[in-house]
Amino acid sequence: MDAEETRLIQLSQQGDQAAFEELVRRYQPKVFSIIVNVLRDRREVEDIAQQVFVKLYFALPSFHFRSALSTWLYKITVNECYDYLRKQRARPLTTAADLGEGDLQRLERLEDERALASLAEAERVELKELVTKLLERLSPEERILLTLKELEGFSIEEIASITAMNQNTVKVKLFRARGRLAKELGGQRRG
Amino acid sequence: MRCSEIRAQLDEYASGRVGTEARQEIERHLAACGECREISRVARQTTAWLRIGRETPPDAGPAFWTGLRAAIAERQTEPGLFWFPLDLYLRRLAYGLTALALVLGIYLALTEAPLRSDWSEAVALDSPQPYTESVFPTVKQGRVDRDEVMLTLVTEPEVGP
Repeated sequence: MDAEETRLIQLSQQGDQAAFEELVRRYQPKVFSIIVNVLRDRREVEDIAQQVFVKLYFALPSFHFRSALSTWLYKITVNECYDYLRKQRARPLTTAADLGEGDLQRLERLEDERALASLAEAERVELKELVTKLLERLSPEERILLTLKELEGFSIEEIASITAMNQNTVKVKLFRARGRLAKELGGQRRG
Repeated sequence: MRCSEIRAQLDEYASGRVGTEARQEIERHLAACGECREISRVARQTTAWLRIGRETPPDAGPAFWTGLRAAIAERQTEPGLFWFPLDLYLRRLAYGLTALALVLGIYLALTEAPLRSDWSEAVALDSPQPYTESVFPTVKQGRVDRDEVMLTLVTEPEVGP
């Protein structure tokens, strides 16, 4: 946390809304990114982000600089995503009929990131939709952990701080989440 | 290295966050262990899938800022949240007063014995003297002034048998 951020936090704690909005500007891109990649729904991003920052505004008087503001903020973000996904799980999930055999084969052929470079843009878009459908089959916790690790670039240590789990638990859950994702794809192939 | 130790480092290995020596040891193990090799393969593959599925976040439009300001203003007008900045200072004041009360209480507890003897010496409780009629408050119209009674009890020594 730099000196400027500390100053903005202190001003925000005194009710300075302009200072708070400057903090929002600093963190808005990352918060939006976490939300859109966990929820896979661009329409909900602004609403969820507003809830996150409103909670931050009224929780700031309790912030005593014992941890980084970013850890605190991402914790609130993850909790909002988790609550949203738990409510959404009441809705019917993607059915097997939505996942075409051709798409599944193409995804299975991708061994690692180097193979991504050879994909045409149209193919990439189709596979992206397929990945979204696969992610919908995971639990909220699995989606959040995979997103934080693979898409947002957080380390195991950072994920442990954000989710209040210990590092070994994060590793085990990530291992299981990846296995589950691969199993969902394999399950779709077998029909 | 055991399989469990290798698997615990696979995330760091995939992210390129292990040292040269550790990387070489992991690669030697993966070359020899089919199970760990499969786990590593699944990890790389699922990473690739997730990277394909990466969504680009939208920009924060005017509606986001309007909505945020409105939501904050709405909560600020709720009872109890109106005094948002004052709440901060009152909280700190309460903590300070509590700490002061605690310190004062400890001080009084530690200095209680000498204080009591000073007081008893001041009012001569060790050698009580009988009340005499002259020290009682004046009776006026069959009534005694309450304040005079209290003052008498405080200022005059206790009656002995």
